[in-house]
Amino acid sequence: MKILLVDHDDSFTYNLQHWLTPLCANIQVVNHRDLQKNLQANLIVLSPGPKNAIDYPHVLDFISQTSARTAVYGVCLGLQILVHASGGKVSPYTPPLHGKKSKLVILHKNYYSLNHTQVARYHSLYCTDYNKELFDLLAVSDKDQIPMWLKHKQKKWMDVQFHPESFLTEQPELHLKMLIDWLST
Amino acid sequence: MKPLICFYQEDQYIYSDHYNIHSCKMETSVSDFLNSIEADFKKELKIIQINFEYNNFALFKNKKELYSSDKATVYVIHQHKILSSKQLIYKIPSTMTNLMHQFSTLEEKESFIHKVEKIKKEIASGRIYQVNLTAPLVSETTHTPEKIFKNYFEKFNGHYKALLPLQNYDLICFSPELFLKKQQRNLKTQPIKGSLSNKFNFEKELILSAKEEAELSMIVDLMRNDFNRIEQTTSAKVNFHRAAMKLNYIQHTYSEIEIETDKNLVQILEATLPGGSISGCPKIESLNVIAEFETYKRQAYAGTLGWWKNDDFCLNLTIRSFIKVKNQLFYHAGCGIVYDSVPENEWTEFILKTGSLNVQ
Repeated sequence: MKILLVDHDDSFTYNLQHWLTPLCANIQVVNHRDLQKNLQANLIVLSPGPKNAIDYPHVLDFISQTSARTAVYGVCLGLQILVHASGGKVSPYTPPLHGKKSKLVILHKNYYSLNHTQVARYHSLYCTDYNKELFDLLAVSDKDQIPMWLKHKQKKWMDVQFHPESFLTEQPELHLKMLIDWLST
Repeated sequence: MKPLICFYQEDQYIYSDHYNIHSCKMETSVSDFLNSIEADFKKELKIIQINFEYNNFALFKNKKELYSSDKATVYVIHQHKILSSKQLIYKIPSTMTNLMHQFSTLEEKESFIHKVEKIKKEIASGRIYQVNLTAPLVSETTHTPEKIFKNYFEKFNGHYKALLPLQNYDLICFSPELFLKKQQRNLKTQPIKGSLSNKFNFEKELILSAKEEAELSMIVDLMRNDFNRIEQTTSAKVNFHRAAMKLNYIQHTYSEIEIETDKNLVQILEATLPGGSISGCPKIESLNVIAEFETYKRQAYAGTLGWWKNDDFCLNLTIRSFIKVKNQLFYHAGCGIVYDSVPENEWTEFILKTGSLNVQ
């Protein structure tokens, strides 16, 4: 197995790499500017990062060209890229939350063991609109009820708005187990 | 030779007046310079100083310089003494007086506040999560660096003090912040974020503040990242989060992160410089914002300094520092700007960090 971790010039990318290591030690970190069509992996992980999905047209291109069988996991900006790539809308979130904590409200029985656990949030933007025919909503945040966790119904895409790799997130190993279980389905 | 002083262990200082100075040339990278020093003087005790700009020189090349300085300097120490703070103060011959420096800021309050507002807009747009905005202050002085060091020693308490006679200036440093400490395989950092005047209650005003908590949490995740970048087989862990640091002029919160690593100083610096707490998050974009918004190069300020011997080293973040150039004395202060920042309060914090110097 091989993981391709796309780094959007973020300062949390290597935390994500270390969080993913129990799943697979073969993780290639590639800066978003160096993405090439021939890069192959079983799982592509889109890192968090600054700016907006539309500032990364080459990443949007890259994702549109990956096969539907390739698993893609997006974190924060990564989620926003996947939502944008599916015709959804990303807008400013006021006030922005950086280094703040929220509880998850789980909406899907398979993930219920993470209900009311604390997760870290780092975002100025959020997806206001996603295609409900394309995505299942797995979780929202407790107070503001905004989408925290999405799963694509046809493609093998999963995305989180929160940061599973942050030290503020409770039970990071359980989040990883959920990712592993989803990959094996 | 002018004496050199650098923090060593708890209440112990390196004091030397017998050393050689090596400076990093403009065209040489700091990494190459330090690698060549390591090859020639591995076992010797060394004191090193690296400017904030480090290897990002191109990004800041159009900024004004307050004084001329080398990118990095290493002192190879031939003879030294280890002194306690009492012995150190006794050793410096200067008299104790009440220094009356009148500082003026090189950035007007209105301009600083305007920048904070603009940075908040950059945060709202998603460009950055936090950025450390700083500005210099200047005063005239007739005193020697030793006298300034001795007279501000108690006022600016903090573990990582130093007095370095550099080629073109003297650096008088009262930093309370540990950047990197490596002992055998163990590497630690203790970032500081969260500041409060001593007039207010630490528990109520600092620990309960969601803004101050988020500022530090963000830098903890960033420093975990920079440490995790160094190693694949071991991971960074947070030893404690939001401990109290109560200084004579301000109170802070700080955290500790560590990792086990066999990497050397240069490899570690390449993954961690400039320090997270004095740049911002994400670091790359924060440096772009700093280059856009700050008027002057930071030079020695917000860089790093400390000792290095064999594979062990201990480096501070060079904050709360005076730079003496002829009869001019510079001091810098800065604040972590987040979306919750109230511009007026950030200016108050900026002044607070001058530690009751007289600021016009």
